[in-house]
Amino acid sequence: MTMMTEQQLLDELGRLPRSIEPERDLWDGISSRLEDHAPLVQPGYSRRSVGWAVAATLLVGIAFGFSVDRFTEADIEMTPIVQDMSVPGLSFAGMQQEYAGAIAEWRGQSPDQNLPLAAVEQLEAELDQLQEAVDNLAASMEADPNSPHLARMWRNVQQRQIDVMRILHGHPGFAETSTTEPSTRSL
Amino acid sequence: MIEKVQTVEHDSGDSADSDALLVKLACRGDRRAYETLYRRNIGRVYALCIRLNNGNREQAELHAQDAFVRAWEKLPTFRGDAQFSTWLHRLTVNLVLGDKRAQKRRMKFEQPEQEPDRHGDTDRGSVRKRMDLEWAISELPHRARQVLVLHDVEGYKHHEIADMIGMAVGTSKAQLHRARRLLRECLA
Repeated sequence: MTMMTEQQLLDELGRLPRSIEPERDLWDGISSRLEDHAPLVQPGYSRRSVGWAVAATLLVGIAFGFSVDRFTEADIEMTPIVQDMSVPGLSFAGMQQEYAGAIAEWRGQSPDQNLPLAAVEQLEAELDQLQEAVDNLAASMEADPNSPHLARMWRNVQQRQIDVMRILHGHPGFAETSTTEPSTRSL
Repeated sequence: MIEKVQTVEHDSGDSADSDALLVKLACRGDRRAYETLYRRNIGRVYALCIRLNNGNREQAELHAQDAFVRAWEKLPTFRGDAQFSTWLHRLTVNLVLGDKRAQKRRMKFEQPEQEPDRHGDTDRGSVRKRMDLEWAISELPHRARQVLVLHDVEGYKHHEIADMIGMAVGTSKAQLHRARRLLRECLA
């Protein structure tokens, strides 16, 4: 009995068809089930929803810009070290895990169907920018884990990320939470 | 709206761009656009489903349908960072693996993974095994099969597979090694 080599096996696997047509057309079954679901974007969304989306996006953008502006090189030198930026009993890795769990939970949900598509796209783009900022900050904090400034920036950006998630998913608590001091404990 | 879809169908020059347009139309409730996306992608989705479902045609059809219904619901979250086909493919993997996990949780007692019967089933014969790699894959233990299909057939990386299945990267590598060994033995 001759066993094929691993390379021969990989070649065989590579020759498998990537596409296999089902024996029957599945579209009718799919199409009938689409009727059970609400339209993806309500054509008659309310002015209130649009207002919320625009206002919230502006607020997040301004707040995010403010957060970053506050921590220019000069400011960091002048700002006294804030003791409460280190979270007692919770390591940076723990904080990251806690936030990642919250973000993943929100990411798994569908956007608020009352939001217009343009607003959803804008909020999603905002989330991507915030995530990039979080990743960059996380990398910086690995190099300088005791920096209270980085910790504060990181928490602020993460909080904005949560706020945008709440807007995107129509969470009623946005108005209250967006104006409060960021707190990892609240997550 | 129909004219737009027909234009898109004739534009075979840039499938990704036309997919993006179809997605936008489908997001607005255009089912013809979504049907076109279905026709373009059902082959790959079904191939994935039938391989992850141990060759079970009925289950594969059900999962393929579920995937397209789920994708319809989630279309507004598709940002266009990747191609629609890539996004749909990933969604299908998550759906099938998630359903498998749910099925497993529903079982009162976990049944041990069954090794492929490589010795007792003489009816199938070694000739057929050599000729039918698909059959050999379907005989693999389910974890090993999932990893092999996702890695060697669909081209996912170990860290992606580990994330999707919920296992350590090292376990994914070990399962792939095991799957390849079993396949080689099966096809010998």
